Amino acid sequence: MYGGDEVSAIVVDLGSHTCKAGYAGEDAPKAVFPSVIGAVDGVEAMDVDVDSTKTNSNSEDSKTESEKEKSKRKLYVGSQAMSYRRDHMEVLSPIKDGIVSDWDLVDNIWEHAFKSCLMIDPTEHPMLLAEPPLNTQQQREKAAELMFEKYKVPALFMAKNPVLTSFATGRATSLVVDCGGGSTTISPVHDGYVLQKAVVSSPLGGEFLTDCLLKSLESKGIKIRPRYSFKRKEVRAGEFQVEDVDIPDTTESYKLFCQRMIVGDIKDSICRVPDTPYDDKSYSNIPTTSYELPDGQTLEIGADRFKVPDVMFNPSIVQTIPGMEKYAEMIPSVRGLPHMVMESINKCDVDIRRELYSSILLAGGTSSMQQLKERLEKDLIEESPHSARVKVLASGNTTERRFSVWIGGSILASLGSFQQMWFSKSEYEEHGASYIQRKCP
Amino acid sequence: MPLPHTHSLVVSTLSLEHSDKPQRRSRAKVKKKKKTNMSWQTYVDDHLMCDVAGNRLTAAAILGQDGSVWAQSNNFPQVKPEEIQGIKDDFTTPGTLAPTGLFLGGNKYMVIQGEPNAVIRGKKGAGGVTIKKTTLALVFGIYDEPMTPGQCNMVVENLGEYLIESGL
Repeated sequence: MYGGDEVSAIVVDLGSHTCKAGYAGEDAPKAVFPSVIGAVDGVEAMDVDVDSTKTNSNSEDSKTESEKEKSKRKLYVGSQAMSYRRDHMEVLSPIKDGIVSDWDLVDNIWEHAFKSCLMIDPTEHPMLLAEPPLNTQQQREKAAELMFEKYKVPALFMAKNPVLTSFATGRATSLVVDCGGGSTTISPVHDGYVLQKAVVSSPLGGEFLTDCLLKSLESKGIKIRPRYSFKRKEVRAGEFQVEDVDIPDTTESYKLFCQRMIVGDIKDSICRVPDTPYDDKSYSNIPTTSYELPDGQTLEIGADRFKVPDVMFNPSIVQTIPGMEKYAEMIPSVRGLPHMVMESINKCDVDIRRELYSSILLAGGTSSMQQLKERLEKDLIEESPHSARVKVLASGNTTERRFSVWIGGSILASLGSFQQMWFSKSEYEEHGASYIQRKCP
Repeated sequence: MPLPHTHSLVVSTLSLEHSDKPQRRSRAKVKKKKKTNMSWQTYVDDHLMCDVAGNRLTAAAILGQDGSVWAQSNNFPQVKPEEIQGIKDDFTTPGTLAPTGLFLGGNKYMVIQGEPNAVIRGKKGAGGVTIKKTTLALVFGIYDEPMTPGQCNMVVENLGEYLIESGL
């Protein structure tokens, strides 16, 4: 049994959109930064920005070709590094379809969190890693291997995101509705464990809504200019004219990353879930809301304020947004939030369904969208069985809602009764990575 | 029910000790006993109902996959044939028990994540059950607070792995 009382554990929640990391026992993560990474292939760039870079220059003969390619990449991690444009820098995500597909990127993200953000020595702190509810056994073992072999942590535990969210609200049983950046996942938690077979997931998350808004604005002729792409010229005292700056070596992925940052802020500032299903006629004459872009342009946004968030409830709306045609095949199989909730509960044992309906927990950054809670509750009351007493719960504090997974991990790793649960380094050395399945069920 | 073969156990133990595998695999340590005392009940009493960091299973058993009782602790529930069949079905087709719950002697457990065709885990309040499938048997461990799920898993699955390595 690992004696973890001496030093604070580190809690890491690597989501598809942002990574949250910090000390157990605290009420918010100390580090929050993008989960995407900038990568420049194969060149030795003459960058002075040494603090934010890491060069994986150690090639080995045994590596595969793609690994050799990866080892020549120059990687840039963190908000500060990502805010600086570089020629030929692609923006990559370590996570695909909710599962890690590039462990080298994960490794760099962890290293950034430990060394650059928290400034800790991982050999001194037990690590609590949050993981998606449908994480595979291989993924868990790979994470354990990396933690023990590379970072040489003294102990490790892996806990599922919805369990941690449930824990953060003091509940052993709940239905967690996690509207994150990359996806939306509904998970029943019973007595502190995910009921695996009833987990329901959809690729519609905050980033998808941002893309809907971006395409909608572009279809109206609005140009979203990242800061690096324009300069302002004073043509008359107090009057400025915006001129596009041509930087041909900027990658499309980096341009999109920057545009998403801007449009994501628009979305967070003005979007509001409509009380009833959106339709164009009802919203054609509503007053507009103003938003000033970085280039000085002022947008007047009307129907999109309500249309875009309603995608969470009526995914077919996506078909009406110009530029979103590439999702035409995917959208028909995606269900709205209330249906996902009912689908998940219906896959659970009949004896606990009533309890789940009365403890629906909202989590994730996208769940903080205005009126989402009220709309979900209303739709569920209308469509759920008559015997169900629907109650949708959400922290009034947006920080708590956004970081509920991390906060649950912070609480869990601080508990005295949790200390006997750590998967210790000596257990790893004796039994190997597969032991994680037994230690962290 | 097959008898524990002392000879094959000794051979298996020796071969394990000389294994060249870079990563040592877990195995229950078998105390040396006279041949006449070696029995399935010993596995239950000494290796399942043993002390784990001050905690102990509340009940344990080794059943044949046909439902026959090879050995069990005193308070292990009387399982019904349909309950065993449900467990075997869930090993074959994971997910069949989740909508109905896992029953042991009439007690209902909610099914949580296990390992396909290898482990079924159930939860009931602060306690629960772990069932490990071996070549011929099913190893059961039932626990309650303050024993943790991980501790129950270790005891049950370690013994199960040992039986599998012994061909049982």
